[in-house]
Amino acid sequence: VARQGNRRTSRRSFAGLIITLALHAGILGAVKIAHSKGEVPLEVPRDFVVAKMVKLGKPREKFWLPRITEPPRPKAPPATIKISDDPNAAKAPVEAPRPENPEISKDLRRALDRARKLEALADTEPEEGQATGSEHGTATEASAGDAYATAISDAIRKNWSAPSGLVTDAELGRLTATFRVRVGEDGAISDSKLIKSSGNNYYDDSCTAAIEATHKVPPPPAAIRRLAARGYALEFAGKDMK
Amino acid sequence: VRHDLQKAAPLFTSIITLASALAAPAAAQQSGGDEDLPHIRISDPGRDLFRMGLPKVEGDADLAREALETENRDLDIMGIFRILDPTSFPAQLQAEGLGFSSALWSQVGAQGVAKLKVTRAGGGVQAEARLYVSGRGDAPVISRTYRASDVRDTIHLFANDIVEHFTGQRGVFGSRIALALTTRGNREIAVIDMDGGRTNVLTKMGSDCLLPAFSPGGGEIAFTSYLRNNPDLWLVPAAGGRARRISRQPGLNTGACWSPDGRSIALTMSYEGNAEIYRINAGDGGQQAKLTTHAAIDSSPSFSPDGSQIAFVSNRQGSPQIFVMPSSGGSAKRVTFQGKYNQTPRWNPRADKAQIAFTGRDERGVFDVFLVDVRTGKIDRVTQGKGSNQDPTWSPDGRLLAYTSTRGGLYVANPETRHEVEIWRGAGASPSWGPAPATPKGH
Repeated sequence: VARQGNRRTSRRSFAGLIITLALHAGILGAVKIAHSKGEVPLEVPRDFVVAKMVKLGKPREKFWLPRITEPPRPKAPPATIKISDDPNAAKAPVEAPRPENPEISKDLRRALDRARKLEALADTEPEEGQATGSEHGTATEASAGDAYATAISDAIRKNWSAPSGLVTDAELGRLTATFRVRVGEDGAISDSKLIKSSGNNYYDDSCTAAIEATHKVPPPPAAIRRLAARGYALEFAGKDMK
Repeated sequence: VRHDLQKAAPLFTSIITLASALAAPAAAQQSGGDEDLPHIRISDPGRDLFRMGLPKVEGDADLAREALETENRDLDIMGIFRILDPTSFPAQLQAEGLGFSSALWSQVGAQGVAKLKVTRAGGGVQAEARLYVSGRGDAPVISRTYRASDVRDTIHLFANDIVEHFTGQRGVFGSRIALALTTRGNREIAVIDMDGGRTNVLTKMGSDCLLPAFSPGGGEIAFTSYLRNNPDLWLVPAAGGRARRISRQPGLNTGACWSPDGRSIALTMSYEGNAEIYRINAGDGGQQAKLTTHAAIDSSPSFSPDGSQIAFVSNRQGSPQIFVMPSSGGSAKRVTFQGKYNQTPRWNPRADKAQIAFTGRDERGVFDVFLVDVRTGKIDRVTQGKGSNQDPTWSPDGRLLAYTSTRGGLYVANPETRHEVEIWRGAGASPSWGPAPATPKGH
């Protein structure tokens, strides 16, 4: 009886294993089909953050009545800074000229002189950067996506103005409207659509007007053309607080 | 059997885990919605007034010019519009009549357009009016006919509807401002239309009349006059007529402020030796209460919109500062902690604001108009760098401030946008803005 029972148990275990394997295979197959139907994923979507710095200056006397100060507005495109690149980091120390060694041959000295002259020339060259960069920028090259997102942000922001009498300063900080736009190969904005209203019509209108007035942004670099054509979510935030 | 289940359990668990792990990305792939697009943040927009186009007014030529002037002025005073230069409008826009093409107007930068056609009708003036807003299609958001006795009043009705369209609350054009007008040798009480249109001198006392205060109903104006060689409190009908004296205690009877229900007046009196704030009956001047008792000088009361509190000026902590106390008197709380000379508090009539406008002297000795939030003590500046500006008074809707300026006259500013308009040129002091005009029938 005991042997019979054991045989029955092992047979059942075997059946369970078969069922389990079959189910696993089925799910894997289904997932494979689902993946093959959808497009191959593009770049991993990410948020582009525009960094800003507080203006340097003397604080006002605490017990004086306030003065009206217009918030400093950047003239150049707003800065994008890689967090890893600390703008306050000390520059590489300049090497002090070493005393010349009389032992060095004339030829070597001449070669060294030439090298120093070249070095001096190099110092007068303007600091390397990007024509599309920001004057506050510290990164020498941005990833294509970052740089392009900043270009779009700048282009639209230039045309954006929220009516001050209809949207109060206090309200501004609470308002965010999100628009979906697609960007063509030539940079033309199309298919603009409000996907999340701010709740304030005049604010939403001002964003629509900014997109319409911008009409065209710089053409996307080849590497992200597909991403640009798929679309961006433009998040119009009244005040830069994250 | 129990043994079997025990063996199989981990297998089933692994199936569920695997299925959910693989199904999640598959679902995301399939949705492909707008949510998973890369986000680009655009923040801190430029701040500009709403750009309004006011093209040529149609109709009777002589009326049309005044109508356009009034329309321009009213919309400018509101402080929420920037009126576009009409010389930039192409001929086709000037010629489109009362119609509207949003595409054409967008090209000249207009976000809104107000149109008028004025004609004479039965001894009065009739105006066909349209308001268009770009982004709201080519149909008008206001399309009405207004009728009043003269051009200005007709246009004011339209202006009030425009304010209501944009702010949700009717405008106050047609309201008036009382002030102490400098005449030949003294000051008399006068009322001026809020657009500076008409000036009406109410008193002929020949001695200084100061600190007028419009009653909440608009029927009377309280003021202090030296006619009987003492600064007594008088009342004069706002429509003109005989003034009557209601408080004549020896010494000061000044700085009157009506309670919101119009039944009592708070004022400064000094018959007990020191300047204190009292409350009297607005009808017969009978004393109701003494609200402050302090060795320092207390003056310049202003009721909160619900009548429960009074703001006033006191130098009890050294320099003159704004304080708030219950309107029945009692312990006072200091509200301004910046500046060394703050005076003339005026409580914003908007109940949702808890805001007081006042005159402050800054560290350079310049007087300007400021606002203080009663709850937080935060102070905002309204005027700056344009002469000295004093004695603010709120419009009845609490959206505008009128004040005098050393630039010579009366100015109105929208404290939110700081857009400022000179409404009247002349010499006058301590303006007091009267109530909103009655809403005409059908509104």
